[in-house]
Amino acid sequence: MKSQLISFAACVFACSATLATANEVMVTNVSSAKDQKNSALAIDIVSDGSVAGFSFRVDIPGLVDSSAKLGGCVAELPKGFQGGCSVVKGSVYVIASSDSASLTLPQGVTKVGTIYYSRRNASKDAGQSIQVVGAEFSDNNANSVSGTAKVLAD
Amino acid sequence: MIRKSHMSIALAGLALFASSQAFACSTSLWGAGLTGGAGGANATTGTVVAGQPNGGGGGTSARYSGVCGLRVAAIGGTVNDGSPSAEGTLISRFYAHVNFSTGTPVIYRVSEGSIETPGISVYSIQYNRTDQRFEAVNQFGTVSPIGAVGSAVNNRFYHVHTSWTRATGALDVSVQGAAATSATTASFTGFSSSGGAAGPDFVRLGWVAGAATGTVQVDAYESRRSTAIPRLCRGNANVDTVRNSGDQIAIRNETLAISLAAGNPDCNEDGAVNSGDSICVRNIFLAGQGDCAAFPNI
Repeated sequence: MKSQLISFAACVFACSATLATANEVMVTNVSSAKDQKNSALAIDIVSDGSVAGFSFRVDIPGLVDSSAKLGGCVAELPKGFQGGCSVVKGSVYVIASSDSASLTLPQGVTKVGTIYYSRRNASKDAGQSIQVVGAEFSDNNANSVSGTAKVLAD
Repeated sequence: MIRKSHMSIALAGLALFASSQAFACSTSLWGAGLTGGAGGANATTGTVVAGQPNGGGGGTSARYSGVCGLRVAAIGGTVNDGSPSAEGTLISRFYAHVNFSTGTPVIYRVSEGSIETPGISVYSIQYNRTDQRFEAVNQFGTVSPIGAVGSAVNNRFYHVHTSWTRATGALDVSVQGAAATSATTASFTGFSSSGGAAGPDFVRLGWVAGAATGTVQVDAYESRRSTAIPRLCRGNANVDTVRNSGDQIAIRNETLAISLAAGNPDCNEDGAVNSGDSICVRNIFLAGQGDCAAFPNI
């Protein structure tokens, strides 16, 4: 419990700092490290209030493509946003955009959805970490706006 | 709409455009190398309309790239370029949105001599509406189909790339559009010039000849002496290097009549920019093929 509190406190501090500075894709591993068969990643977006669209790829070492369950991948997007997800060769692609020229993600953290998947137990994947690649944020004028990405362990 | 190449011999734009979407579309860059020069008496023939999809820029026309395109609704309406001069090789490309109910309109003609005489056709590209495919025609009028019947369905945009060589009389043609992910190609011989040092001296683009009913809209003409001209990145609406959510925003803004996309928003190449193009971009991205350089034929 103590460690959880510390983690929570650290997150509050870190997330607050993030809110004040940048857009960010946050992918959080919400599964047990020992459970290769039932893994899950939660997707959140930190927005400075200007983000009308975003897209990125999540590289998951050992991902069994056919195991991915993407029904909830963008299920928590705010009203007025549409998106989709796919799996291609060990990576999950995520894309979303707003329907209205006056709509952006609210400033702060927005839940996007959750990906469920299985990983191979092959040793070659051991030690390889999940990565977010090609994170793109766009404003309502289709201009790219700066942003980062990170993967968090639960 | 204007494509420039350091190797270009025929540089002709259908219109000028800049970041300002209020900028008028024009044909003032056509006519170079012809009597009257760029924007002069021979820049256009017949009736052509340079404009934007929303009616801005002085007219209404679909476009493939940028904000301006050229629409021709009557036979004889063309933009002309005299930059070539007895060329030994000619590589060119254009985008054409063909929308005809009948006929076989000639869209592009490469000729020797003077445009006023009116010159000798070296080769032409025409659209056969009945067969729904493009065809090449040599100076003797021999028609060579490009691809199978139905390979170029009507009411779509197509990238048409030609490469001609005087020494061999060879004409290589590539046609790709209608959101296809591969090109229809054909290689012909028998497309000689009139001989000796004769070669292309001018080109016409639009609705050069051929009875038909309908409209053609053309864009992004470019020509060179060497090196194939790559396709524009389909769906790259916001003029960066990848197709992703940013392009969806640009397409959405054009769909909502907020602003025209500066890039190539007609992802599904149907001549209109709407939700279908946003879905098209999404599907390209989700297929892991958003990178324009890595997937130039998507």
